[in-house]
Amino acid sequence: MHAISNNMNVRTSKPLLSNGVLGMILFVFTEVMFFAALISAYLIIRSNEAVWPPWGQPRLPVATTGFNTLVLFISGICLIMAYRSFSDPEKRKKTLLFYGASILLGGFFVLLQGYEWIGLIKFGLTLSSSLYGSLFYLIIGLHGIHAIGALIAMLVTYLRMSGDESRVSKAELSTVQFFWFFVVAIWPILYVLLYLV
Amino acid sequence: MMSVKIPLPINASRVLLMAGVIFLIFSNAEACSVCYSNTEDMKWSFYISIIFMGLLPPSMVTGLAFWLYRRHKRAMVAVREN
Repeated sequence: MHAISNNMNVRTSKPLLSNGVLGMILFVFTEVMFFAALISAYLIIRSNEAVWPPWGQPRLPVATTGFNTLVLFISGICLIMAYRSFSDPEKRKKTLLFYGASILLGGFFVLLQGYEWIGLIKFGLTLSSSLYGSLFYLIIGLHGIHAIGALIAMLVTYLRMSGDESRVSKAELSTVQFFWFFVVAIWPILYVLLYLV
Repeated sequence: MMSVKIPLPINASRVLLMAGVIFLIFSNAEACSVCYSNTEDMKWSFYISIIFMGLLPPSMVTGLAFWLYRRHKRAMVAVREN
């Protein structure tokens, strides 16, 4: 996609979106459909059960995960702040600080989720214990894998940026940012459906 | 000029008749052949899922197209101002 200028008989064109960002947007579209299919399957299976969660299965840690959701949101806000200050070379430290904070908070989210899982497994909720356990670990686990993937991409960008800022373009930052925003945006839906409702 | 009429294998009245018969004979269609339940809740979750999954791709593509259009418009204004 290009914006075309015809001023002074000189035809110039500037891309509206970088290839990386467009590719990431299309990838995120497929991921949205993937999670939509999982949510759809979860709702259909759940609607057939008289009692949900089933008797004898441990209850999910709603409060801790609620706090973790807040941490994930703050991580997303930090990434927005880092992106805003990226264009200004004088705010390099601020960019790195916010970007680093976003990675740390994202890492904290994944670790706390893992810690919760250990507790749930100890209480008897496993992948094979029930349909409830299978769906929970499948959906939340896949979100966790996406979060880890996005964090690795963010960490690589951070390391490149901390060495020499000019090595990372704004388009590259946007590409990683889109993926992390997807991870942040899909989480509240999963939290409400699996933990609250 | 000579025109050649090619006969269709099936005519419109037969199609209408077949459609009528199909609509008359079915009573309660299951949402899918492997569904193990016929509860009202499950039926509704199928309906909602089908609508949701059906509307999601066009809404995402429309959203992207609208966003690109707005970016393009803004870029054109910036080009004209410079």
